[in-house]
Amino acid sequence: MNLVIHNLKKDMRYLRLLLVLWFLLLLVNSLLLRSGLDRLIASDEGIEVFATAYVLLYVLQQILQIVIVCQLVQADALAGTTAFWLTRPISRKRLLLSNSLFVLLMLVLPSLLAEVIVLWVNGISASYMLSALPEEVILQTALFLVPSMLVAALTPNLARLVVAGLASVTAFFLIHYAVLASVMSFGAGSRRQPVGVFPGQWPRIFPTSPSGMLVSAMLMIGLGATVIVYQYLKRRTVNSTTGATLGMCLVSATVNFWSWDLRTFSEGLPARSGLNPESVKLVVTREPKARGVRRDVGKLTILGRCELQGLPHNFFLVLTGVKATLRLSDGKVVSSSSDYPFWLFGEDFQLEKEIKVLNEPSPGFEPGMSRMLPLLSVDAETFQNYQGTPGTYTSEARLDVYQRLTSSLPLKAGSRYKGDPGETTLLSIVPHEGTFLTALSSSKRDGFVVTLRESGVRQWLQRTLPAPASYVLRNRTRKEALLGRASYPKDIFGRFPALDWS
Amino acid sequence: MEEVIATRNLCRAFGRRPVVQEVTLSVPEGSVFALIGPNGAGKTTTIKTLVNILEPSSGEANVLGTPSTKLGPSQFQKIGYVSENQELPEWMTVAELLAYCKPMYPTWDDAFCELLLRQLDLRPEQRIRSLSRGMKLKAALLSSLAYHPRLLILDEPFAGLDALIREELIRGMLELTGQDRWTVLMSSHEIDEVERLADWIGILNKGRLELCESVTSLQARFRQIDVRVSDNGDSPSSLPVSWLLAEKSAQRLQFVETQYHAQKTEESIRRIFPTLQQVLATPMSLKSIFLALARTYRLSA
Repeated sequence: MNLVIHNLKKDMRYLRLLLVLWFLLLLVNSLLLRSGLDRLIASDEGIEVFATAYVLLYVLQQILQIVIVCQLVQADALAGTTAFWLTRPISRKRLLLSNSLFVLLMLVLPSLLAEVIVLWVNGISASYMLSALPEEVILQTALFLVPSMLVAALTPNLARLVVAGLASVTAFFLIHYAVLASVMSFGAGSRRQPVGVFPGQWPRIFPTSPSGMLVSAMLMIGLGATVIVYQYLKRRTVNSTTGATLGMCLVSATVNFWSWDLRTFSEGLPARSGLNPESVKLVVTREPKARGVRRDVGKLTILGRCELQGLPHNFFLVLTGVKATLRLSDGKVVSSSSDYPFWLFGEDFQLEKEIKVLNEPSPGFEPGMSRMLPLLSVDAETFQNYQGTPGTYTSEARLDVYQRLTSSLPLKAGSRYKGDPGETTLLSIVPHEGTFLTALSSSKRDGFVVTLRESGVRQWLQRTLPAPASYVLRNRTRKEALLGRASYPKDIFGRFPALDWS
Repeated sequence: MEEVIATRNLCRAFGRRPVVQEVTLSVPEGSVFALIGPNGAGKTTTIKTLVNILEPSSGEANVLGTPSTKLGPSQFQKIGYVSENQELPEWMTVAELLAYCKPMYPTWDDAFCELLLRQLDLRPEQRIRSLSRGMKLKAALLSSLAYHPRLLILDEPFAGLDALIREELIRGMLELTGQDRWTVLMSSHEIDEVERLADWIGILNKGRLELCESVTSLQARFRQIDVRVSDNGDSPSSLPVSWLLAEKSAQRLQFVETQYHAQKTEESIRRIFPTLQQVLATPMSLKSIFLALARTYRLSA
């Protein structure tokens, strides 16, 4: 044990400057950004600086964490044949123990301690902390510590580490997108929906399924730790690299395909009933000719106005694919299909948009609204030749339906509610002008930010803003905050009603 | 005499490329064994296999009575290893390096360490990063000698060093090995230096151990032979296999005798050259022996 401590001290001396910076960042991040001191900032400029600082500090903190872990492991490199320790009386087990202790004592525990202090300052109960902190440890370890330790253990020096790190990230993205692409095909019989796809967006690298995220994080830790221990004890880099690659594929598959929701829901939010797919009807009318055609390169897209009928309040639809056929009176058939809603591509489903769902619905169909949609794409020559010819238009559409779940909670720090995403606690109410609350055209620019923290499994380690799928409205008079989020989609698969047009 | 290192049919390949092939050698206790050979002969790979940095592909190696693959902290407490390729913790000062190494070795000798510091002309406050290549080797040597290792392994210790530092190192090592009767295994292609230090030699060529014996025995059986005969007769169709690099010109023949015995060698020459006038047998330096063997290996290849 003495030699383990001896090695630990050596590593602390070696990384002392980075450690000082790490603790400083942790302190600043905790004190200024998460403890409510930010309420003291009054000016717009101050808030802007503050928001930028938050992002920078958070990114810097994670980068620093990765750098420390990589430096630590490569100080006594496992790969290669030139490391100093290889011919010294240091056992591999002791080296592993020493490095693990370092990560635990210098990175994980201080980070947890800071989190506990922040939660405590914000009046969060111990039971809540106990439910939130394991998740913090799992996600932080899976996202940053295990992957960086693994890559460092498989490479003999910094140059190779950088190359291997970039290659791993690229490979992970490629595998992830290859998997997503393979299930994104649209067809009459297809009901497959990758969990990483959020309405109106390209597939995200991290899923919106909290259970999938947690399971893949735990898988990452389990498999990663196994490979790390194997590499420390056996120093067989080729075997370890193979194991790590297979593990990466498994984690990617889990991220994409895990569909079993591990959470238990409480009924604190509106019931999920009220939608009968059979009663949903999409009424299509063609736009006047002047506005009803969009010209792309060598192609024309005929636009129409669609209105959705039979959609209950609190629901909205997103069109994710169209297969259209136009049978002209002379027997010619023109058809087109779009596998993805290209007209929504580029519209981010960000917080501001999400807030607008309440007042000015977008980007999906709301009850009673109509939207301009592309009905059919034809080449320019066909359009010229047949533009006056009558025909029958038929199309199949794939629609995803989302339910908005909302709940109000008392506007005071520490108030909580339980819902689909787990437990949400209002940590603080911060004076803040020009934020998402004031982005609403109809909302009063009262300049407050509601800072939330979600328990359960979060999509991302974002602390001062709610997850992107959430929105918050503050009612100052009633002293309430309205928190809303879109539910996960349900598929509705059906046909447009046929209509004649000329 | 006890063997400190013993290998049997030791092989190591990288992929399908064999680098060390069927090496069988033994290093007696208290000897200074030099593994020599041209670049790429497999010296460093052999040494790395002996100290468990690499695993053998087949065959076995025992170091201090333990299979090389099982070498652990208790064996490494008795082994000193210095290599030109070894990475030192460059952020440390010399004093920090020594302080880091000291608790690992129960036999660490502070007084001896001080003595070595002075002999090797190292300053404790110097950061290793700032040291020259030669000084880094000295620091590595210091951290490998201060605990009186039973076995000292030096992989190309003189490579790239200037003459002065090389001389200092050799002088220091001669003194130390003389004092403690350490067993030393060193690899080098600096034959002149090896000659001053080694009492056993192993010659590696393309991964194979071509020769392994004591320097005394080697130098006793190798001679540069210069023969003069009285006529210009035809060269004999075959010469004894112990004669290497035979060159005949007019009334003169030169070759390297690898099994020299004053009387038997002359008799053998006289049988082949009945008009023999004069035989001159000159002792050979280790460098000349190595060069003769290296040329022979190249010719036979």
